[in-house]
Amino acid sequence: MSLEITQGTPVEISEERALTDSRRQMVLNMGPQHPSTHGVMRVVLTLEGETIVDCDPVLGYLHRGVEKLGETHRYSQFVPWTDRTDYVAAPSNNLGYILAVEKLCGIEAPERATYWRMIMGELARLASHLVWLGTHALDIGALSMSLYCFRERELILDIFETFCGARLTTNMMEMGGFSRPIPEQLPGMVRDFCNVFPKMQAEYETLLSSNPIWLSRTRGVGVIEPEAAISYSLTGACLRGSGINYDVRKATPYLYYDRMEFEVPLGTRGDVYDRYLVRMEEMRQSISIIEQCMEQMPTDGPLALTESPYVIPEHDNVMKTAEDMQRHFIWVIKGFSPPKGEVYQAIEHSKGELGYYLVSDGTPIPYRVRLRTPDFVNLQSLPYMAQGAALADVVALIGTIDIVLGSVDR
Amino acid sequence: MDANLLSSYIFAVIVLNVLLGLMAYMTYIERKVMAAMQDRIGPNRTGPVGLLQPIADGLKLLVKEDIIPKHADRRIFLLAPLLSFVLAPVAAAVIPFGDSITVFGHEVNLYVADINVAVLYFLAIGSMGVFGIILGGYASANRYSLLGGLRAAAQVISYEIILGLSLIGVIILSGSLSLVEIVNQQSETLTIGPLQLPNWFILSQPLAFIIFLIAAVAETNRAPFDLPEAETELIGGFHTEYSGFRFSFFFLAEYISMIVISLFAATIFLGGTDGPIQDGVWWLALKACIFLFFYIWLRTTVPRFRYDQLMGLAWKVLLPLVLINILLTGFIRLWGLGML
Amino acid sequence: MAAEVLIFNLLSAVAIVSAVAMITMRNPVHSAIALVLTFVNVAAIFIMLRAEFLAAVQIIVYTGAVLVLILFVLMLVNPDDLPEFHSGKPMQNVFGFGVGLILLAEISVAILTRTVVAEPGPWNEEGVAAAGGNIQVIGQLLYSGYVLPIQATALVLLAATIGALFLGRPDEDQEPSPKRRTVATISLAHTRGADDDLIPALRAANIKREAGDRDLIMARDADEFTTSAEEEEKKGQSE
Repeated sequence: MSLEITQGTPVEISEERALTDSRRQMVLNMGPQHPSTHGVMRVVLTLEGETIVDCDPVLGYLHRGVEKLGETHRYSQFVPWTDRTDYVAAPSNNLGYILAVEKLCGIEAPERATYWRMIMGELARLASHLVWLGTHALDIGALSMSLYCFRERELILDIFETFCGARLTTNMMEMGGFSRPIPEQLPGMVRDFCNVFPKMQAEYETLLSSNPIWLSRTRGVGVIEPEAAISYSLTGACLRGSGINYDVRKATPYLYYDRMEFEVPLGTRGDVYDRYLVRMEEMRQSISIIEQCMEQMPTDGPLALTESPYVIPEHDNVMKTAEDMQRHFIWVIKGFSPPKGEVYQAIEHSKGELGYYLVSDGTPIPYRVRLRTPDFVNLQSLPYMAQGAALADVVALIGTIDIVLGSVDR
Repeated sequence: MDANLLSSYIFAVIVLNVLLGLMAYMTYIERKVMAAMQDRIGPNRTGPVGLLQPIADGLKLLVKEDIIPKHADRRIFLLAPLLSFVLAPVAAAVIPFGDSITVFGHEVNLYVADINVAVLYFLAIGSMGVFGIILGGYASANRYSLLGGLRAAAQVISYEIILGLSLIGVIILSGSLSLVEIVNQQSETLTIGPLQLPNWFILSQPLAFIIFLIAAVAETNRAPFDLPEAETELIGGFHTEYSGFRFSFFFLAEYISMIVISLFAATIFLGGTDGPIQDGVWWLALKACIFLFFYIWLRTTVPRFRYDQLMGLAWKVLLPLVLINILLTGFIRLWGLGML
Repeated sequence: MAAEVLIFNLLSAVAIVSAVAMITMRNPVHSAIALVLTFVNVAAIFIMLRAEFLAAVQIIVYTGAVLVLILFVLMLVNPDDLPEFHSGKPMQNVFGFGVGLILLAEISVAILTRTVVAEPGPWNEEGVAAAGGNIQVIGQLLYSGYVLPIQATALVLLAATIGALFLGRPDEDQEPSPKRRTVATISLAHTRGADDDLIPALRAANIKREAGDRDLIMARDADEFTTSAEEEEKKGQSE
């Protein structure tokens, strides 16, 4: 009998603070099965009415020990694991890791392969942004956006499938380039996508950019000042939305980003709406980068390094020459041993700066693998943004940070 | 028993059953229309073009396990969905579906009851309907449900006022609270110069119509005012803990009140059964369908309001507007009667 | 006739039982529901008395608004904060009982003497029908003969609204309820949530692109908005 509800259901919490309500405040446990936490994140909210007084993200429900797995597998065996961190932009994760290993070994992929890597990286960014846009809008209540976004993402996944056979966890990048030929129809598919997508994006913007409800739900919500953004070491759209000009592609160009002409959009107020605008503009820039890549790319030329000891030999030669067969055998059974040393390679992932830090002790297994996943770092700003916001804003804030729990929890 | 009373009872049973049938197919139509708007196909496996889907859904909900949470306030938990479900179709009793017809030599009126306070009756039943939601939210012993119930309480009180006040203009013009009388007045023809217009109240009360439409969406807890449910924030809100047929009662109640309020809006503002050719219940159905389509259209298109914005809209925007409307209508009415 | 009496008896019995239940229930929400039942039954009795308007208003105002508000408050309140009604001080019990008895006596006297029935008012059935229905009669009476009481009531309600706003305003001197988390930023020059441009200089200097009515700054270069050390030095010297 009586109002047992306010005593609430018993919930265990790891922190010292127990889940008890004070006279004016109510503790609300959001997640890990809440539909808007984008997976298995848990947020413990202290509410006063519907206003948030305190917000504690609880992470680790999807922790799989990816870093430790990297330290027990050979360099090439870890590539599929990177797919499973940020699974909505798998090729970007592959790219970051492969670039780090290539830097460690001191090799560089041929020009044509590099261009294709860039295209795949940008397509992954687009796919990731589309998932972000769909789920973010869905959280705020725009039901149809998610379906529209997933429709266009399908085109990108088709390109991935044609390229490597897989759609989600692509395991696409290889040491020293691509060992398989590029399918004939692929350039056409990419060009078609570049033609179709801007029209689709314009459609999304008519639905959202000037919708009064969307504006009132996103403007002035979750403001991060530039100083706060820096001190929280945010990256990606969360940082640029606050007006800080930092994009890894510009600051420390990798691949051929120094050959590309593109602009980095910066927000002026640092709220949810600015981050939305920034990401929308980034999608346009990505399309432009893909088009430039298609133009500049040499039509012919090798796709992979052939002679390097760090690279798997060309498949045709393995069955023909003894050396290649031996090398192939050793590469597969024993792996390759990069020189001793340590590298840090950062790329501009769709969510921010994705960094791989590798320490090699000269054996085929890395001594230390460290992932700096952008959304894990960006998620720190959630309590800061959530204070004083309404309960309904929390889902908008989680959406605006753009988290993928595989990448946050690793 | 009085023959008139008997025919009223029979008609009430017919209206109730038609409403329940319509409700079932309303879910089907909503899913199909939403699918069309979202580039999908929608239900298409159960029966020809998915036509048996509502029946399959109903059966599924009936055979599901009925879960009552351990900490729930059991009696209220059981009462709440019933309250919602029973009150939703009751409001349809005052809606006139046409003039009287003759069946077996008896004259049968095509409405269940013509009461002199029909408009107030409708509002009263509407205001009772929210009890199901509030009590369901309270009794579930779940904080999300509690928040949903609180939101529903605040929202319905605010929008009930707007809904009621938006009808005052029409009442001033018609001088009656009876829906039959209001429909009869609208079937006259309005002549402005060469124009021959129907005397529908949407033409004389356009502002009230728009406000009524907004308040009606809020009153039925539909997107973008579906804050008590808000599946992405409150995970279903007041019905989070409900399962099986108890959940379906809430669901049915929501759809029935959508249909009823559409019929009501069509009656009040669009002339009810009045049409350009051959007046009849089909015109009422057509007009109600326009409103129902509007409901679905809204749901697919717009994001959800935030709680404070919802309240702000009601009290800061709609309330002043609707008061101005009443004032203007009053003056015009007095002027028309030559009393100014 | 018999049916009417039966229905009346049923309605009044339910109304009385639920009124008693409203007082005796221990759970405040259950009490509120019992009160709803009372109101609805009283409204039904009003309908039987041909006072449809009164019945509708009873439901709209009392069940639709007042009780929803009561429930709203009850759901927010922690049961531990509620005063214990059923084990009050002995003095309270005696006093309450006494007041109840006096009230009961008053009602009994009113019913037994039946002055109301003895002298019916001017509005009998024919009179009401002649004036166009009871809603019309109520309207005319309220806004002609009883204008002053109506205005006075409106004033009282307005005063009550203002009083409620005054009482409900957030109290400043009480313990600061939101536990503010201090943020580990070095120099937070900007107030949180301010709508001013955060970086006006940046905004003025560079390329803008329209996006809605808000601009994005398009950076072409990584160093575009950073001032080099030399420039900083120059700036310092010139100042």
